[in-house]
Amino acid sequence: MTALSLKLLREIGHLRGQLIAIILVIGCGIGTYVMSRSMHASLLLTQEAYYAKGRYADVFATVQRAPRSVVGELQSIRGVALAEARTTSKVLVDVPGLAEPATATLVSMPSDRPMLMNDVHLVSGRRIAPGAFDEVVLYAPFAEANGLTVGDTIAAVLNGRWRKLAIVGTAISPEFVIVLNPGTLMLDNKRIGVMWMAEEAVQAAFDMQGACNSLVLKLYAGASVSDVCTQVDRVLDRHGGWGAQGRDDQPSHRFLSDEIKQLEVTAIIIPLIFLGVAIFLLNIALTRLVATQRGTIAILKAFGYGNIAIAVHYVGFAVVSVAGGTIVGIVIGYVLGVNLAELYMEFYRFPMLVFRLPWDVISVVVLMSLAAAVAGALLAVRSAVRLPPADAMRPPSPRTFQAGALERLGVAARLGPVPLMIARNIERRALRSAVAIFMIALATSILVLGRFMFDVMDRMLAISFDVAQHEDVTLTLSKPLSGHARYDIAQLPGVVRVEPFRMTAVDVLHGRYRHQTVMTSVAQDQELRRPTDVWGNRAGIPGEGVVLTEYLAKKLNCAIGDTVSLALKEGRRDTMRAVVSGTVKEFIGAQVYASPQTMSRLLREQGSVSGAYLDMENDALADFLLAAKRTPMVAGTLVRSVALQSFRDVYVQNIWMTTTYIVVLSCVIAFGVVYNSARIALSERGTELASLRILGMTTREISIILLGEQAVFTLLAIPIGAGIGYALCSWIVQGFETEYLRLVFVFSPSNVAISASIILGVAIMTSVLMYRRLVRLDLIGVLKSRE
Amino acid sequence: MEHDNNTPVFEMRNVSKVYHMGEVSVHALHDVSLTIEAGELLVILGASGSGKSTLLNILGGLDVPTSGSVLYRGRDMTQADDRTLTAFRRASVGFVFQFYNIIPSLTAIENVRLVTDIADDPMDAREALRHVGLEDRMDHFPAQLSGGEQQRVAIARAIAKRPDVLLCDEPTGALDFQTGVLVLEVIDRIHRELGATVALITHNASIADMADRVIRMRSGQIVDVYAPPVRRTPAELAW
Repeated sequence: MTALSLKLLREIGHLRGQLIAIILVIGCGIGTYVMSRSMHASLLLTQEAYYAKGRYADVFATVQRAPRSVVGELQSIRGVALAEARTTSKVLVDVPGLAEPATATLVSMPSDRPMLMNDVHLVSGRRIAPGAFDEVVLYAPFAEANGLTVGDTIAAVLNGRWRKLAIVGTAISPEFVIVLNPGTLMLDNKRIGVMWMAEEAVQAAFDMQGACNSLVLKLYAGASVSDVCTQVDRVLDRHGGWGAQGRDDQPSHRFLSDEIKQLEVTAIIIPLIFLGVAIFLLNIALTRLVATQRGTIAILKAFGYGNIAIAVHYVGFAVVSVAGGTIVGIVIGYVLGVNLAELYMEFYRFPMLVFRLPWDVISVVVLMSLAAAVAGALLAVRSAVRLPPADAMRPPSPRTFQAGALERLGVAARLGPVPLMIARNIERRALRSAVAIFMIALATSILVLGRFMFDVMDRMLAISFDVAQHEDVTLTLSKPLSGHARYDIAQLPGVVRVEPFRMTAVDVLHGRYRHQTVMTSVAQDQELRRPTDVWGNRAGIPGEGVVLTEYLAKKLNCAIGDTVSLALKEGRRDTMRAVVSGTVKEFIGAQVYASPQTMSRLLREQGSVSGAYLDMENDALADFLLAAKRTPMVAGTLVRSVALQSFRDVYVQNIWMTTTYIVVLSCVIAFGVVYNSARIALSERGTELASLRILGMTTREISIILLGEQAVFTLLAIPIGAGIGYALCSWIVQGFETEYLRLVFVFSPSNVAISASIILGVAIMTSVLMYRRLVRLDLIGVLKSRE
Repeated sequence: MEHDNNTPVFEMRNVSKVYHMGEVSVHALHDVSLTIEAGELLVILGASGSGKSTLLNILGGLDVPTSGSVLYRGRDMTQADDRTLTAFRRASVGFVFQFYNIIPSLTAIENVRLVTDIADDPMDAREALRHVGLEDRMDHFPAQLSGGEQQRVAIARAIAKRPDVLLCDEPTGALDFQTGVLVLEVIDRIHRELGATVALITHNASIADMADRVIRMRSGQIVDVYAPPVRRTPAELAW
């Protein structure tokens, strides 16, 4: 090993504190990048693999009733590779131990062969035996949430009749990666499920022999989904087609794809912040190192080492930091990536996980960091190698301070020497100070961002479950009934107030835009549930026209005053026109609201109801649910408190995980910046501080000088960080709009207070570390040497 | 600070100092005994490695002896803890360093105020600068001052607390002859006008002639103590 390499190794050992801080920050930057990108890549690959394995269909069409022979017709459409007919229905399920009835999507499956598309993946048990009429395969998450296993039986209302069904298997399917509660658009595996039953059994139960009401199609690669949908609609129209849709309109696929897309955002912003901070730290650490080694560089040059050899030597520090950071980063990224991907896998019930480290992305990030670090090192070395050896061997003249803004503003005259030292050091190194402040501010901003999601969720829960909804239970009927049904509902035990509503599936069309959703009536005097915007204002529903969720209006490219077409899916299946009389920015879903009068006019009927919002007596819920289960006209009940709980269970847990991760990362950044900054200040001003100790100042007094500067940085950084954080939040809020969820900007002083406390805590801990160094300051050495 | 002028300022008895550097023990001081009387101007003379700096460090409360005892005004400082030593330096000792060690971010007067702010009965910072002839340069930053001026700021800073003892470690070591003489004149005048006890260490034998008493050191021991036959003023010195 050459002497120069030995020097490098020893000095790395000497600078280990700073290097560890830098390596940690670079590691976290690369780690976050690797984690998010690998998780993103892995989820996409897993989704793809799962879809391929289960032969997930490309086009889905529902129809009132079509002969199974229609499959042949569909298969002859250009671009269609495969078509399969099936029968599906929403059914009410009585789950033992569950007070309220659950709802399941019943899907028919051939018992003699696998399904051509959307095939199930068995988690336990077996498929349906040929000819078995009372066997079902249950959606695994639903079975697990309710503690149901193979061999148990459940009861379900099939076409108005209670049937006992034996569970022979549990399964998952690419079609139902996520099953949302249509009432809340939230996950609720306890109450919402899927059931697969033998084709013959379903046909018999629903009088659909030789017929089907659902068709799925697989397309050839390159075929246009929208062209095929148009053709399919043309074929199915005469059978009461409700419109064909591509995968993108499938709730499960869309929800999953939205989630994966969101990961991309976190994969870019946070790692970039980390890398920026890391590169800054490396740069100042190297500049300082080179500055302290002026004499050494002069000696090396005097010995005949060339500039390049010297530059390479100092670049070694940059390489070691980046190499260390890369190793740490890849390990962190891999471990977290695999863990998170496994969590996602569990959450989405993927049968397999295709984990992949995106080496191309990693190489780019590593090369970027290396380039930045080497550039920083070279810049620092350049000024040193330029000096003639004789000059470099002399100690540098005192750092130049002169009267500046502080003096002109008259601030200096009013400050004592210690605050003046702090102020002048900050002023003189304005750029470096500004960057340090900015870095700590970034750490603060990440914290603010993390807590922000809590605040938004809190606001969303408060508005969705407290302002918009006052009902105890939402009851849906198995089919629309006349307005008299409200009196029957009122007879159910414990019901205090009934507010009936009419809800119908509808395709909203405007120009070339189209969206499938539901239209719900909202009566003038309706109190228990009203559409409410994200700020908590209840929306008025005019007597005429329809009100759209703002997201839907945007998606359809229409505004108030425009006319939209509403393709109804029941009754005469008319397409009616209605004026958009208002929009409401809701948190969840994308739907249409109309007054009961407008609903009746559009549906050409008189005051029929699809369900009701109910206000209940206290403690009467159990009796009510029992009675509701036994009432055939009841298709489902949704208890508000239960919905709220299930929402909390799913989302709050997810957010907790991310937030914890964010807090750890921010602490690493804050520690890295404050520690390095103080450490460098100490190495630059160690002589000054030791001199002051000799002059009689206590360790506490000199620590005020050193740490005061860091305190000023931290205190200035916190409000700036909160500002940046909220700017990022508002940017994310604007960008974050999916069909299921919108966010709203929520400023919360407690968020700022918590973030500030965490950053202050880290700064104080770092200060304690620095204080211990100050206690050990070498006073005698100061008398001996200049540096 | 009131002191009994009959009590010696420092009394060192059989002081030894051993530094352990890895497996090697270095005897920096070996059985040194020395008394410094109040108001004395003492020059400690010796080559590099003779132990003079170690002696000064122990006197100034920067270090404690390995064995023997040190009394300051009759008070035993031998086993003093960091807090006591800090208080001692703060109240009683003025330091002048070879490389001045003034704070680059503070002007001349602010550097002096750094000490007057924490001293019990300091003189006015301007007055301290007047003593060293820098009243016209008090708002200058170190980078705007020559080496000699910087050293004079350091002296002003050292005397501003009205120290009982002024300890100067090679105060002219980094200066040219003329500037060095100027700085020594300041120290001499301070000694006369303020009556402070001054201990000045140097390797420059010529400087010894301005002392009341000279202590010559070699290999950690005092080899000679004498009063110069003719006490010269700094202006009369030459090297």
